[in-house]
This record gives sequence, C-alpha cells and structure tokens, in this order.
Amino acid sequence: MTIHHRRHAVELVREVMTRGQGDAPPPVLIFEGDRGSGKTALLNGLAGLLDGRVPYAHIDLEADGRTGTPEVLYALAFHLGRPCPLYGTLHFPRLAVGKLVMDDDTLDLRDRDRARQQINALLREHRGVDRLVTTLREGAGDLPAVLPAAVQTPVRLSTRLLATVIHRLASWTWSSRLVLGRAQKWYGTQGGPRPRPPVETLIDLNRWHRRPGEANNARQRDELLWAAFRADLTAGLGRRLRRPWMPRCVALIDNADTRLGRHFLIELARGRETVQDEPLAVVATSRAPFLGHLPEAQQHLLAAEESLPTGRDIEQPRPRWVRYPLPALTEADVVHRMAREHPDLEPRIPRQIQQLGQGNPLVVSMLLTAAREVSSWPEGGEELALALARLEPAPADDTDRRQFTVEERLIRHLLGIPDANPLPVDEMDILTTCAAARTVEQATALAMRSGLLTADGYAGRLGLMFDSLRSADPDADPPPLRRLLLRRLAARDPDGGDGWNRVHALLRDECRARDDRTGERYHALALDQLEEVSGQFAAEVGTVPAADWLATLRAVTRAPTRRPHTAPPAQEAHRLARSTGVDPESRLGRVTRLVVGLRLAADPFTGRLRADLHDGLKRDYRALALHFPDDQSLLVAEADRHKGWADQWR
Amino acid sequence: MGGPVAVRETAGSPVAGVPTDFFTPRVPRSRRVLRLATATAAVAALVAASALVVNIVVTSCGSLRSGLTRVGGECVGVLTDVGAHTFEGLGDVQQKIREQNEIVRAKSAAENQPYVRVALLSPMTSAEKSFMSKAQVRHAVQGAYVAQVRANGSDGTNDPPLIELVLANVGSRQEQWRRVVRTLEQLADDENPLVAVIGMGTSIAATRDAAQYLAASDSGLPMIAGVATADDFRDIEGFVRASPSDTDYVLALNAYLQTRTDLRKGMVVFDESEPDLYVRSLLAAYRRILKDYLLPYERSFVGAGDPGQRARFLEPIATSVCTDPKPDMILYAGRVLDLDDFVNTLASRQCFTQKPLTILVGATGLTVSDETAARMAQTGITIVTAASVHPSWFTGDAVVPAPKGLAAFVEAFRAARFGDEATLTDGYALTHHDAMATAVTAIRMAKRSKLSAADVRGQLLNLNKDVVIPSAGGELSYTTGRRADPVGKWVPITVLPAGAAPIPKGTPFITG
Repeated sequence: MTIHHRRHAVELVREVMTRGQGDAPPPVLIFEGDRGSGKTALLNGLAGLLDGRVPYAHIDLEADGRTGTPEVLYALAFHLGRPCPLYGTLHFPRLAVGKLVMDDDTLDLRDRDRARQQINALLREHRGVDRLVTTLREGAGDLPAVLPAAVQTPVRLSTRLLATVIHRLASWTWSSRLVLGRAQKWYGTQGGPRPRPPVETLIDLNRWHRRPGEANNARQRDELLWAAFRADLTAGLGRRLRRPWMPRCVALIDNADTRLGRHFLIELARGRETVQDEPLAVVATSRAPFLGHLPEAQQHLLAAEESLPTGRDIEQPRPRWVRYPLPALTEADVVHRMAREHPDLEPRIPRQIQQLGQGNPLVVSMLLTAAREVSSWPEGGEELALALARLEPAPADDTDRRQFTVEERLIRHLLGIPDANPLPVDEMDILTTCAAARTVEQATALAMRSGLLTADGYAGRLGLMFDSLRSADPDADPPPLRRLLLRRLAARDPDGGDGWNRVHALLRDECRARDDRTGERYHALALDQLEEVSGQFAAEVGTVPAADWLATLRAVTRAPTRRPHTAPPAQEAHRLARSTGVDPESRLGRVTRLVVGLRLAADPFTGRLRADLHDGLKRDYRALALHFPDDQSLLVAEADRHKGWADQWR
Repeated sequence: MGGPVAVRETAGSPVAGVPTDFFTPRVPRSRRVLRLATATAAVAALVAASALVVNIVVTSCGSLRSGLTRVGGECVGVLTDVGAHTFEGLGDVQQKIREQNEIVRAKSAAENQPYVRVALLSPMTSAEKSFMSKAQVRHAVQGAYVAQVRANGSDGTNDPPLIELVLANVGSRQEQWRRVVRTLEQLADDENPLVAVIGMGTSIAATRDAAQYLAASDSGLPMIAGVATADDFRDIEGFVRASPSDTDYVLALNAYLQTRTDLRKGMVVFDESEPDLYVRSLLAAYRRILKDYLLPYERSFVGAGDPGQRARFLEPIATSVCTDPKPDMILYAGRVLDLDDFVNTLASRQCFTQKPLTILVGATGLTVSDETAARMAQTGITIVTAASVHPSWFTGDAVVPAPKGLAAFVEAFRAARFGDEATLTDGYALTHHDAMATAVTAIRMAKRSKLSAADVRGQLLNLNKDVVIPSAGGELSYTTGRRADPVGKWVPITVLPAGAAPIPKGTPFITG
C-alpha cells in the first residue's frame, strides 16, 4: 500500500543516513504521532525503500519476545546481517559469541578454572557462520510481519556455502584461531589498550546476565553487548566506512516510547557520544514525547517542512535527538486524495470524513474506503454513521486479522487493542463516560470516580488509552476516538447511571461550581438547554468584547449532541431555533440560530448539505455585528468565513 | 545521495512522491567507470580465454599437446611425439619412426648421453592443389626414416649422438611454414636440441622464404633439402641440397643432346601458373644452356593450379608442334604432375604420323603409366629426363651404372619392409635419405658435449675431400664454390618408353 504526504519524512531519513568525512554522529530521528497517524506505515514504507539497497533493521519494541537490550541487539544484528549489494553480508561474531556465553546457565561461577574450560568447549562447539546466524535469529524475537519474505529465511545458499567452508576451517586446529580468534580476542581488549584474557570477560558477562539484579550487572552487560555490536558493525563494514557516498545502515524502531525503547535509545545515544564516523542511523517512532528528562539543548523539534540542523553552527551544536511530529492530513489533502482514488464519491463526504478524522491517515483512509462502498446517501444526515457501520474488507486467509465493523476497527486501532483480544469492557465503559469531559482534568476526575484510575496518576492500560482520547487544547476539535466514544455514550440510556444526561449534568454542575462559565454552557448545550445558553450569549452581545464573545461561542458550540440528524442541516437548525419560541428577527432569535447552526456545523455527523446552513450563519453574524460597536469587523470576518464554507459545501 | 526527487520514477514506490531508488547508494562516476572497466576487462578476458580454449580444442590434432594445429582442415606444426597424430597414408612409417625414436631415447637415457633431433620439414598432407603427391610425401618420409635407422644402427648401436627424427608439416601448399619454423627455432634450444632441418619441400616461394628465415635466424639451423632443385636456393646461408640443381639437370640434358644429332630444334613449353621457382629456374637454365637448340617461339600453360583448365591451355601447344617450323623436341619446364596430361594432349596432335617428338625434362624422378607409355609409343612421343635416380637402379636389370652407396640404401629400404619399394623410382626416398645422411654426417663431424645447430651448420661446407657421406645418389660432397649444390651427385638420363631412344653407356652425368 502506498502512503501519502510522507515525502519530507523520508527525506529526513536520508539526511541522517548521509555520511560526511569526520562528521559527528547524526541525531536519532523520532517520528511522533497519535495512533493511526501512519508511523508504522511510514516505517514499513521506509523498509520497502531500503530493502536490497542499504542494510537495515526493522523492529517493533511492542512486539512480544523482547525483554531487554540483548534481545533488541540480536534483532538488530540479525536484520542487518542480510546480504545487500555493495555492503555484502554483515556478520556479528562478537555479539553471537557473547550470546552463546550468556545463554549457558550451566557455567560454574564458583570455580573459575572450570568455567574457563566450559567456555572454551562451548565456543569450540559453535563454529561457523550458519550457527552464528541461527544463534542471533533465536534471540531476535518476533519479526515485523510486513518485512519481505526473504528476511524470514536469511541463511541463503551463498551464506550456507560460506558457512560450510568456515565450519571446516574452524574444525582444524591451525585455522580455528583464524576464524573465531578475532571475535573471542575482542573480549580481551574491547578496543581498549589494556588486554585481558578474553575468557575472563566472558565469564563476567555470563555472571552479569544471570544475576542482573546485583549492583550494576545489567548495565555492564548491556554496555559490553553494545560495544560488541558496534565493533562487529564497524569491522563488517570495513573499508566501506571510508566511502562517504555509501549511506549509513539504518535501524527502524517502531514504538520507541515504551519503557524498553526509551532505555534502548538512551543506551544507544550514550554509545555514540565518542564515535567519529557513526555507521548506523536510527529512526524511531513514538506516540508521545518521551525525552522529557533529557536536556532541551540535546533535542530539536522540527516544523512541518524543516530540514535537519546542519551542526555547523558552533553556537548551536547538532542535537542528539530530532523530533518530527508527523503532520496530519489537511482537508485539501483528503479532498485531493479522494479525487485521485475515489473520483465517483459524493464530493462533500470527504469533508465530513476529515472533520471526524482530524487528519489521522488511518481514520481518513478507512472511512474513504468504506464510504466508497455506500450505494446511496440519506437526505438528512448521519452519512458517516453508514460508513462506520460497514464491515471492513475481509482480511486475507493467511493472516491472524479478524473482520470488524469500521467503527470497531478504528476504536481498536486508536486504542491499540489487538484483534485477538476483546474490547476491554471496564476500560471501554469508563473511557466512554470520560469522552463527555471537555478538559483533561474533568476526564481524570470522571475516571477516578470509577476507581480505575488512582489518585497518583494513570494506571495500567487505561493510562495509555487516555492519551488517544484527549487533545491538549480543550477548545480544539475533538480527536476521532472521542467522537466515536461520544456516539457510544449517546447510545446509553440518557438518564441512566452513566447516561448522557447524568454525565453532562454532573460536568455542568462541576463547571458551575468552579465558575467555569464556558464549561458550564458547553455541557448545558450538550443537555440541549438551548434557551438558557442562547439567552446568556444574547445578554452578552454588546457588553463583552467581540473577540471574547466569539471565542466563548466557538468553544461552547463544540458541544456534542446525542440526537441523530434526520433532516438537512438548515431545516434542522430552523426547527431547533423555532422550538424555543423566540422572535426569529430579535437579537435573541439571531443568537439562538447562531448557537444552533454552529453546533450543527461542528458535528461531522451533521448532513452534508450544509451550504444553506453556512449562508444562514453568515447572515446572522452580519446582523449581530451591528451590535458590537467595539469591533464589528471580527464578526464580519466570521461571516465571510462562513460564506466561503457555504461555497465549499455547495 | 539522490538528485531531484520529482524527475525520477516513483511508480511502485511504497511512499508517494518518492522514487523507489531513493536510498540506493549513488556510486561515484569514477568508481562506476572503474567497475565497468574491470567488469568489461574480466568479461573480455573470460571470453578470450574461452575462445582460446575452444580454439585449441577445435583446432587440435590428435592429443592437445601434439604440437599440431588444424588450419584449413590440415594439421600443421611440428610433431615431436611422432605417434601423437597420424597423417593420412603415413601411419606405418610414423609407427616405425616412433619406435626408432623410443630406441634413441632409451639408449640415451641408459648411457646418459644426449641425443639430437633432426626435423623433416615437408608437406605431410596432400590436397588437390599440392605440389607433392601423397606418394611423394610418403616416400620422402620413408627415405628420411631409412637414413635415421642407418645413422643410429638398427638398435641404436652407432656412435653418438643418436638421432631422433621429428616431422614438421608445413601443409600441402607449404603456406604454414612460418609457424612451423618458429617452433623449430624453439626446439633448437631444447635439452635435446634440434640441430638440422631436412626436406624443406619443393622448389616454391614458400620453401625459399622458410629457408631465408632460418638462414637469418639466431637458431643457426642448417637446412639440407631433398627435392628443392631451383637455382634460387644456391646462395642461401646454411642451405645445401642432396639433389642436383635445375642447372645440373639441364647440363645433363645438354650432355645427352651431344649424343643425339637428330634433336636440333627445341620448343620451350613452360607452366606460368604459380610463382614456382622450379619451373622458373628450369626455364632459365633451358634458355641459358640450350639456347642453340631453341626455336624463337615458346608456349606456356597453366599447370597444377587449375586442373580443369589444363586441357584448354595445352591444346594450342599440340597444334603448334605441327606447324612449321616443327620442333624435334619440347623442352618442358613444368611440374611432373602435369606431364601426363601434357603427353596425352600431344598424343592427339594431328602430325603425329609425320614427325616423332621428344620431350626433355629435368626432374627428381619420372615415371609414366603403362597406358601413357603405350600411347606414347603409338604417337611417336619420347620423354628424355635427367633425374636424381634411374628406374633401373632399383631393379635387377640396371641399364646404367649405379652409385656406390645405392646398394646399401636399397638394402636398408627393403629391410624396413614398407611394402612399396617399387616406388623408389620417383627419387623422393633417395634424395631425402641422402639429405638425412648429409645432416647426420655433419652432426657427427661437429660432435661436441653440447652440440648446437650452429655447430652443424658450420660443418656443411666441410663435407668434402676425405669426408664420406653415406649417400645413395652418388658420393656427395659440398664445397664453397658450388655452395648449396652437391658435388658428385649422379644425374642419369632416362628414356620413356624404355628403349624408344638410345641411352649413353657408361657413367652418367655427375655434378661438380
């Protein structure tokens, strides 16, 4: 599958791969984005571009089977060791020797002489490239399913032939030192000036690995393995390191914001501090910023089309970490993509999809695909409900994927719930309830009320799920997961325990108690208390500054509705405004229409025939502008924006 | 790394707007050129090596190391292991030579004595346009072999150095002489060196060129020709021959004409088909020595070069002999191979009842078939030839005296049991025997611990006075005055059909 709008991200990767003579190590490039923002797809795309051209490793730190730095290093070495034109086949004999010794839990740590003999015997048994590759493969854990098939069986014929030759050589006393001597010998010096019997270091390594809890054992083990990995990589590349036109090898690390990933990357960055000609470029993905504990000077946050800092400026040395938030799709992107991929689709549907998806590539992509399958659209609204209710395309037989509705698939993806697991009932319930909250604080309070959150912070899986639910700005458009959960909230008995009315009333009262006027009106509007909210806004016309009045109006009219949209938006707005009984030509009448109209316009499930709705909003803004002597132009400008939207929705 | 993204192919790329080769290392142009050049050179070398191997296999004759190469369907080169390839019609002779060579090697190894090699350079193959027939080739090899056996003693019992005979085939038209003589040069530096080259083929330009090449060569190889009679060879350094020169033949004919008062008007007929030194040299000798007998007109024809056209060219000659002034004799300057056709054409002349006709020719040896002999008798044609041999020398009823050394040769030839001794009459066996005998005599004269070809060459013109060459065609010797031409070579006159004309009694013409 081709991914779109990621060209700049790919160019950034090439920048960190490009080598110059004597350059400082390149920064670790981290792509940030929410679930569904296309991070994994980007790494898959990068893997496709790199495959067969540059040695690369592609590992997912959320995958099962990796518990620490050693396993990640085995996976890196295993992937990098695939044959590649110009680079040849990279072998990691030092790392493999280390793994062999670490895995031997029969080593007698009380009798050092016996331990020496055991290690020598062990290494004599495991000679040859084929065994080394197998050794690393055993420790590499799960491989990403998207990798080319060749990766799954990397011991190719040429490697087998070579392995046979080397194995034979290693079987002879005179040549065994030649074949394995260098890898073993390295443990004696580790590149340093003071030699030590290699076997002594290997005994220590075994001890560190078997007793990781003692003192600094785990850290010493990881540092030694990192050094072995680097020495193998440097020795494997050999003269190629002196060719500046040969790009660095690449490590693609998905989900680096896990605890393991954070630890791994920090170890990696520490090992690169003293390296002059770093042979490895590291590209990672993260859902959230995770480098908060590192100095600001070591990090750089890139803007949408910004290139990497060159590092030539002495005042601003090259950062060790470069973060690049993957840009969300714009409405223009979605419309353009629809025109290219789904030219027959009703042209207003993509705007509704973008309103729901908020530029999330996965949400947009799935909804566009589902929308294409809908044969006819209702006259009123709820078009997206039709798309969400559809079954996703049937998965291929040879995968473990299951078939869900588009809505459940999106929820699962945005929450990170695998196909094999059912949606967690308790967490889903509390998340659905929390979707009613306008701010993070309110949501946290609701969660704590459930007992699933503790007072000292998020607990367990719910904590991670919460990240997908909230956006940093309470007045921004809600993220797609919240929209979907609000629909679930609306489906509950409105007057039940955690029903729509009870939750919003609770939140309204809580806002009133905190004197949060915006929040109070927001939840009041969610409770359909239109007259009250409109009356308050009408009373403020001409008495509060236009900018403040507009900001509050925009925030409040983002309030969700639990009622389905059964009529075209203009008709629905008219009906709702008339239901209050106020004079439509009065100031209150215009404000009421404005509140109703803006609330409908902010809802992606509102019908697609919105041109008349925006025309009406334009007229009401212009009429009300006369009542704001301080700055009429703000309302006029707002009227003009709606005029533009009316044209777009027409 | 990469150039502008937009201009490159992005179809099939996993990331829209990014070409599939976005991460492909951009190999510097200089490196690409170097790699391309290396790859091209490697491929070229591989192709060349393969072609060479294929060429060797395809063009090899016998075993890959036989030393022969197939050129134009013929196996040419130097056959040091005489058994490594068998030339057509020479199988039994080659087998005998091989056995003799093995005796030589065994004897030399047993006594820790070096042996030397002598090469018979000659056409070993025959084709339609050859200058030597298959029989002549065979007889030449037979003669050389007989001399080898005589030189070594039947069991390698003679004085050292013993002689190994190798065969050097220059092709039926001797066109491959250059590659052959180069190989011979190399053999001159061998542990068991090549010290002489005999045979040399017939009197054509290729023989002269090969002789001149070897004369100028650092190898110093001496050359002792078998049937190369052209006068052109006389002054080539290191070259001698065991046969008379063309001048010697004509001198013998001139002596014969002194006894024939009936033969006074001669017409020259010559072959103009090839740069044939024999024909040219013989023609010159006729014009020079027999000028008093010559009519003022000559006739030419195209000989062995184009057999199909031969009759067309010969017919006008048959007409001209019947027009006044009618010649008594034809002075024939052409190849013996064409003589049968010439005789048959003359036999059909219209005036055959009015005037007999005698054809004079100088040749190594000449015979005609019984059918032709009968026709000649019916049509009054007689051939008088000055030759290296007389047919009666090899029969019990010799009509002319024979040289002193002939009997020993004939005895050795018969002992070799080739089974076709009657064909000694063409003279090729005898002259090549004498060439080999001359070479061996020079070798034994130059006998040193480390013998070289130059040593042997230096002895060629010392082969005179009290030095006896065990030759069959006369008591041969070589002098600085006659250079390549032997002294003491017998040149008997033969008349065909036998008895058609008187033959002078007594010792025939002897060169010198």
